Amino acid sequence: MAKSILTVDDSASIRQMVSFTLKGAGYSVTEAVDGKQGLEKAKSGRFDLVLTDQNMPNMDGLTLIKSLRALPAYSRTPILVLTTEAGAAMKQQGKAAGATGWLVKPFDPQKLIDVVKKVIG
Amino acid sequence: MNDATEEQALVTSGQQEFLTFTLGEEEYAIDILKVQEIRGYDGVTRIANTPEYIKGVINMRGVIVPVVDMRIKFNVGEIVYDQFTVMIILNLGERIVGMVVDGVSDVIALDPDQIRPAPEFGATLDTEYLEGLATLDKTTEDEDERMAIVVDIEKLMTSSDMGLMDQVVQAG
Amino acid sequence: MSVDLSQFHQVFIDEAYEHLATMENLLLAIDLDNPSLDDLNAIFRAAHSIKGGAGTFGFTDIADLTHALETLLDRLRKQELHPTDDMIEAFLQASDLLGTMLDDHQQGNETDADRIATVKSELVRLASDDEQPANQDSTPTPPEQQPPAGDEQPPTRGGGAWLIKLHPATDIFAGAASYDAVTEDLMALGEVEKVTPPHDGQATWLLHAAVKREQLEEIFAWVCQPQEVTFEWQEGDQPLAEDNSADDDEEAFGFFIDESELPASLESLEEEQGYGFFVEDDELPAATESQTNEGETADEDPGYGFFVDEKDLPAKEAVTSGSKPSLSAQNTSSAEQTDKKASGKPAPKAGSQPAKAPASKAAADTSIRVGVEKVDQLINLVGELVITRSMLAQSASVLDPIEYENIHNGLANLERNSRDLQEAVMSIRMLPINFVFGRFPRVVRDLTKKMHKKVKLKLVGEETELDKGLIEKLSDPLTHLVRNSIDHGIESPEERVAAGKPEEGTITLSASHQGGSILVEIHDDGAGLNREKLLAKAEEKGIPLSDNPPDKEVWQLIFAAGFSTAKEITDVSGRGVGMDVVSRNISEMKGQIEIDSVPGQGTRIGLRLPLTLAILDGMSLRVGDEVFILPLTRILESMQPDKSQLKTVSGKGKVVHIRGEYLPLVPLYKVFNLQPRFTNPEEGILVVVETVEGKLALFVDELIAQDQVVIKSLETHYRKVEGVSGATIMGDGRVALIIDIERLARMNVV
Repeated sequence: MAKSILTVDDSASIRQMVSFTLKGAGYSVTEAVDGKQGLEKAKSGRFDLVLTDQNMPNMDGLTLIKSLRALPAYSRTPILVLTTEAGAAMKQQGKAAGATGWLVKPFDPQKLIDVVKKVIG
Repeated sequence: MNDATEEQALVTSGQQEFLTFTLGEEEYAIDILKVQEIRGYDGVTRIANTPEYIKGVINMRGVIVPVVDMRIKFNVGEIVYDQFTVMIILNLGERIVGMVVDGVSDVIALDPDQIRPAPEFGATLDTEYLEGLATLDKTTEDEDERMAIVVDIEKLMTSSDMGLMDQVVQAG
Repeated sequence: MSVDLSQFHQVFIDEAYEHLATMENLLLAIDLDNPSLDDLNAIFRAAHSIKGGAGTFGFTDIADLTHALETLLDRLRKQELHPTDDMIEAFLQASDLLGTMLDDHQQGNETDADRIATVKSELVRLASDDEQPANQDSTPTPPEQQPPAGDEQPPTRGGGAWLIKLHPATDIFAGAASYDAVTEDLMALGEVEKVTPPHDGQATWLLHAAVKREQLEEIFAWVCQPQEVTFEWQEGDQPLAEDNSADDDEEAFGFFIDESELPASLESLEEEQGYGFFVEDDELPAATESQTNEGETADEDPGYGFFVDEKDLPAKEAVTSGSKPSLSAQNTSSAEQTDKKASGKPAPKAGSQPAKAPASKAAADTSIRVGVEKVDQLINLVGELVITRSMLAQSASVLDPIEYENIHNGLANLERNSRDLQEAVMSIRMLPINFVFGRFPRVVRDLTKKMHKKVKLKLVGEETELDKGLIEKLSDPLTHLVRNSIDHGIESPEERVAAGKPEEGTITLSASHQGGSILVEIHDDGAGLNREKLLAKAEEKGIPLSDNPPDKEVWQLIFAAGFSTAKEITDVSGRGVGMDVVSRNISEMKGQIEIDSVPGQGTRIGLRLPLTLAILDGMSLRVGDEVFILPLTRILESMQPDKSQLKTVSGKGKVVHIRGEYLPLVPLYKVFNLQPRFTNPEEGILVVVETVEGKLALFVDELIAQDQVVIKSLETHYRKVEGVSGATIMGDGRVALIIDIERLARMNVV
């Protein structure tokens, strides 16, 4: 069965690109427009991986990660932050929130697939 | 609307199908691919201040379509409207038009070489709209040889002669 | 697998247009004296989003320009600069240019490079202006000396350093953030002196590197609020031995391979790839399946790697125990920055820090984009359904109500359902009028600037909904009217002051529902229309007028072709084209124009439009064998006249005397050349209708019923018919023509 991925981003174009790329690689992908919706969708479904943007309306990525980690179902699910910035401070915050890793934007589709493969196979 | 495979078959055999209809004494043939359907004359709403041959408009499944009476336009045949009056609904690309004629006779297949250029003769329709003359195969031995006038119906209907389009000087 | 990114271009472009529109609206609404931080943030966010998408999808020119825009916006929202009118103007220019660039990308054209350069350098110039911070911070901030910001002027190397003061409200280092990590990020940029060690979250550093402000902002964006840190550029004369500053950032962004940023050699491999993991590689679900050989893989395949050194973590334990991903508080490679200077490679980096607290923009997921033709098809089909229903109802009306109770009940339900369905489907086409109004703040701003006038625009009832088709058609006439108000209506500031009016004029655009129609009004508090001037002009142009015409008639002159009373021709209006187009557009929309004007006080132009072009509340009536529809909203009353009310005026035909008014009597059978049942008005019915030209009494055989009808075009397959605005299909399947009352009034059939 295809691994399912939740992608959370407020930009429709990025979301579509991520979704299309991963679907093409054989994953099943669910989209959410912000952290709030991401959390709702995560609660109502099961995902093997969560990809989230950091800066979004309503709920940002770090808050989403923290909220997910508080849920038993997502205490171990890999979560990657898509970020435009990869300094130590970001890493610290991301790590503290409970993210599994990060991916710097912009990225090319192949890189995304590589990383996702690395994480969930 | 058009059957593509059928069309294909005809194209390969070089033949084209035509619907023939009569107007007075003359028999006309039009490309059958331009014919949407044939129906009776019914429920026509009059439009004021138009030439007499524009009978009005009808509802063709939600689309409002004008109806012209070719018998009036070309001053042939007997102008009666009853259950035998037929109307050919033409689909001319963008436009749909209903056309009242004396009668619909046949669907025929013609080879291109069966259509000869129309001479300057006294047909009811202007030569401009004629594609040629076709000799029709006899259906029975004792029948006279028939001739059909092949009409470019799209050209005719969209012409300013018919007054069915807006580029024409407006009535009224 | 390769993914063609161009397939997402359209989505990006649509998205970018939306952001541009948001940006423009917010920009125009900014109160320069008291700018709202929320708005500045929202504008920044819009620019940032465009930049992010443009970078991802390869629109580097757009990314580049938005970067310059963003830099300036960033300083504004951090209140380091105070917004000025010049800035707003530059933003609007940039927003226009971005729109052009998006168009050009869509059409495969090249955008004028000079124009881009001009706009960009203006943004850069504004961004580098020194200014006292706008907010009065508790910590006294010395005047900021900016290092050259922006792309035109690369930072000078050597003498100079950034004094970074962190003064957060809470002790941020007590939480997730660590002083060491921040210091490390700074060290990645250059030599760092720890001026004040951390205390209660406060700390000061001196960074000897001529990096751009935004690089610092990026680091601190993860740590604190923008206002909790200050950056001061200090010119110095002691040259630094080494400067590895990431000056190659000038490209704004595009790539993320930034080794100089990476603190540790162990990380460099994977971080070069622009991603990393906070956990052991083999803790990842994939590892348990694919049995990745940790450590080696990272070296062999630069495509991925780990965030932390696996040797530092109890890797095997994590896997065997199945514990959750390790989030150990291990400090992220604090001492590993030694290697970062090794790389002298260009290190383009991400753009600046995205905005926080974004406004709600959840609409993206709660709405879908559908082609209008699909909606129209739906509307047509529902129309058919309604007709079929009424045909059924007509057939069933002969059935016994008791015996066939079920059929009658079913038909009643069907009627209700199809009506609801029709309303629901129609509402899809309804859009708030703000889609048109929304462009006027910009129009007014541009025009007032050009005309050297001062005008305030007020919008009222922007949420009023009307048909999409009407909205599109309304845009042009409304623009003409607003232009006209600014050009001819509103006086110059001097004239206004002299007349005892406020210097700034006001134009109000309002929309409201009034029964079955919508009223759009343009009201200005200008000089008003000048009756004498209009009359003189009419005479000059040879436009016939009645003797001593009422104001109403005089005002309508402004809509006559070739009519302009402007003293001199301006490029804004006054060419005499436009206003006649307005009147034509409005009448095409089956609308009416009303004008009121008071000298010295202003002019009000009202446009009365139907709510939709697709359905009509109509009154069906019969003349001879034909059925016609009259728009219900135009009917004032209907009556059977008695002989005493009917008069004949020589040369003007019959009139009917109703409550003191003499109304022209128009027999419809004459207009439509029909054989009526009655030729004597006393036997038939008179329907009094209201037109722009005044009231008319239409003489018909009988009234049938009041009905909502679906408007069909006659022009699709036929052509325009005089006196008829369209057609509809009645319950019996026959076509009925809808009467165009305005045309009728002008046809003068008596």
